[in-house]
Amino acid sequence: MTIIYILLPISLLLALGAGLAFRWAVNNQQFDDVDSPPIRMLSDGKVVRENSSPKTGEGE
Amino acid sequence: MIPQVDNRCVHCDEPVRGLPRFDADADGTHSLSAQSLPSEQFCCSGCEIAYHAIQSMFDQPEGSNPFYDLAKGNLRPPTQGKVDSIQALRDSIQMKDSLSSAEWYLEGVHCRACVWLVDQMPRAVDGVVSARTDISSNLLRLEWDPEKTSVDDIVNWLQPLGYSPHPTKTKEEGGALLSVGASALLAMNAMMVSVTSYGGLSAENDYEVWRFLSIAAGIMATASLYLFRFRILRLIKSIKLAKLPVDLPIVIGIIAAWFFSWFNLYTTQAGVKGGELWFDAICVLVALLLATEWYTDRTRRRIGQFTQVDFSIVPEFTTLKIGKRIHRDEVQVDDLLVCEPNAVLVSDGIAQQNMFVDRSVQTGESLPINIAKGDDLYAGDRVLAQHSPEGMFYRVKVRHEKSKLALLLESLKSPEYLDSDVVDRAEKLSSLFVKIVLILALLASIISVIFLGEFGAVIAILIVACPCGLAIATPLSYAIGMGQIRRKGVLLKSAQGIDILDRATDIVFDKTGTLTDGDFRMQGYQSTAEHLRIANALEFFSSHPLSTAFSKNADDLELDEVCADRLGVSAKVGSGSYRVMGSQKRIPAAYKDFIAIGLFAMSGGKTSGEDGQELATFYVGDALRPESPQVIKALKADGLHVHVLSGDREDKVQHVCADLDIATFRSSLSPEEKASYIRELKDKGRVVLFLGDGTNDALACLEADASFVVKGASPITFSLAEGLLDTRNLGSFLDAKLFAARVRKRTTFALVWALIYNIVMLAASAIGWITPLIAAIAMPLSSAILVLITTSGSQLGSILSQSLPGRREASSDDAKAVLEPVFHAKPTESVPL
Repeated sequence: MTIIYILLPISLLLALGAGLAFRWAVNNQQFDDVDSPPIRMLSDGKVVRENSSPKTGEGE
Repeated sequence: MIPQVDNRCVHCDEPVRGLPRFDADADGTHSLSAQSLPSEQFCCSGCEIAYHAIQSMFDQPEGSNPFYDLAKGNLRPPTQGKVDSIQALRDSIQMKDSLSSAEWYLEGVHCRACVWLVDQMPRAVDGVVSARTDISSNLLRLEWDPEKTSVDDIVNWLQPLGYSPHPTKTKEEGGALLSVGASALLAMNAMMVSVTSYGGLSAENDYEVWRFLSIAAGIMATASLYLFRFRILRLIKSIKLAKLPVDLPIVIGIIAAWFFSWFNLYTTQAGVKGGELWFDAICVLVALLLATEWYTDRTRRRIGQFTQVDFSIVPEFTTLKIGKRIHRDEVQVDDLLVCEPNAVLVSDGIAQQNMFVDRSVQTGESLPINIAKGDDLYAGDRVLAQHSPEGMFYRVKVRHEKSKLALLLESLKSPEYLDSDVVDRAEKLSSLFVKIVLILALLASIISVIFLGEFGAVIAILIVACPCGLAIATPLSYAIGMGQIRRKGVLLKSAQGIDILDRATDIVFDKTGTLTDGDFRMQGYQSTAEHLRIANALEFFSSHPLSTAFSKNADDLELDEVCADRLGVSAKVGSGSYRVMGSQKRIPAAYKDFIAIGLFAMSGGKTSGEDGQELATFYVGDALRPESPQVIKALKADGLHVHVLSGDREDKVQHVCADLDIATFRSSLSPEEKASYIRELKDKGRVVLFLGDGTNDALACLEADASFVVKGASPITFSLAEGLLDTRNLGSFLDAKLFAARVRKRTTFALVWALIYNIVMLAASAIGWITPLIAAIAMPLSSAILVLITTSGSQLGSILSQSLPGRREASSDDAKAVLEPVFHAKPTESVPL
């Protein structure tokens, strides 16, 4: 049963690591917006003209 | 019949309605051939403005615009909404390292093209450092350099593209999600520990190890309870208010289990089989409850983001006749105030000149009213711009807080309305369920204590009796339903909206803006293309609501001596003088519901138009939404009573109702009369659902059991309604109704299942059959079955992914589905379980 005294700290460390990783992810807003990044990927590299303000035909 | 053209809007791909093909009729005037129609057609002025704004941002030739490549038919017509208040947006700014940052709700973001376009802001607007749009919550996070650009510049950039920013107060909170993660981690480890006990480890055979592992599990359960503390505190609060919340038995069970587990741990001696420990069960339950709560909260928050709207319609500042700017609170009775063109009046008063006024805030009818000198004006009236050399004024009759509008707003806040909350049937049902479970648990405990003489069985009973069905399945089912309904373009603020959608016996419609389009469109004309161009160019200078029917894309026509007054607009175009104003011709029968506007040729620069020759006539009006008849038919087929309440004239309402085959309607109603009509219906025991849009519908919204507003509704009405139809299509309401029925069916089934499970398990535990192993297997199994039930209705996987709140990136099939709602699917269709 002495094996438990080695395995237990290891498993605790692993659990702690997982917990810290999760906290890092939440605090870095990794879960805030899970829908937009895959959409953004599709439009990579396409850009508008620089300093282009939308014109409404009559310069509204 | 109105001639229909089968063309689609260049911007949003919705069919262009009404416009423009018009063949020669009895009058024998010239007709417009299809060939001379403009190649770009728009369904509304919002689309037209957005289209030209977007086109102007690219160098590429038309046709290869990245925005439209990305959008591929997913666009919805934008609301060219007014920003509630630039000041409110300014107030929401935060400063960090000499940069301004803000988080706004951006109305109008629908698809990847929208996300992409708004993300381009740093390139397009000098001074904007970063812009990030979240498609699932419509939140825009912005950072900019206040030295180089301003809120006004940013708003002016967003608005023509069809996006309206609104200040938002709600924030995604990481704390709740962290708790979910931590409790899940604890649950996993606690379960791992309990595996040893299933394997045979107990105090009998290895006391040391058993004690060590049990204490570890106990610490984890204690940490779980700590994460759960807010829920427990909230529960105590609601018990103090004499309510029986759904999760009461489950929480009692958890706390009791915690106490007795520690008690059993300490009283167990080496070599003896002690009492049961429930630490793993506590951890699992807490994790499940926290996860459900987080999910439902997120759904609700994302949908509710837009509900924090500004109540103020009336501007803060106004101008005295002597030219001094004063705050609305400083305005005194008998002050002479300037009617600023297109501005909203701050108080009730008396007109000092003849003028045209848009009173849609009060009446819901957007056609301007002719006000003569000496007539009453009201706060909320918008005075239309017109040519008036000496200016326009009104004399204040009452202070602004005593104005008719202010009193209406005040009455909305009164406790009479806030307290008359409809009794939630779901809440009633669940508190009944809680009572049954508590009584059964009590009975089972008495039986087991008397017959088995074993007190520990009581805890087993409490844990087993936990009605997960209620605490987990019901909120989950409603949250998923709200997500599904949102995907169909209907935003629901509360679970009550779902209940009423399904239970309603009477549906009450407002006419203008709800059954009809609500804005003016060109329904047809007799004109040459050249004359249409001139009319478009002239109408650009008009602030009359009818002018929205004309194309805002006036091209390079040179206009001179433009003069806009309350009757029309006149200007010099090239060598000729023209004027647009009310037509003097007889309106053909096909257009009798519309308003005719004529283009006149003026001789010698006269502006009266009396002797001008009418060159062209345009028929403009607010027509019935094309889907309205089908929606009404579907509702009636479902056995619902349909009513129409309108502030409009009798003959118009009658005509619309005849077209829709609606027998019960009332016309020329004030906001109070609408509300009292609904109250009478409710007094007869009917469940009333109201659909409206204007500020004049606000009281009716409050009175009805639930109310829905259509896109573009006034902010006040919106803030009071349970739901918003975010598409231009009334058909989405039928979709929402269909889903609401499914949600309620699923929930009822889950409740029945939970009750059966509880009764069986209670009986089993009362006679001592439930061992920790059986409880540990049965409980997650029952929860899993409940989750399966609540997410059923189609393939689990697709539903799970679809129901993620706000996953709105629609496929092209979905885009079609928005155009052609589910008329074929009857809302009564049974749900496969």
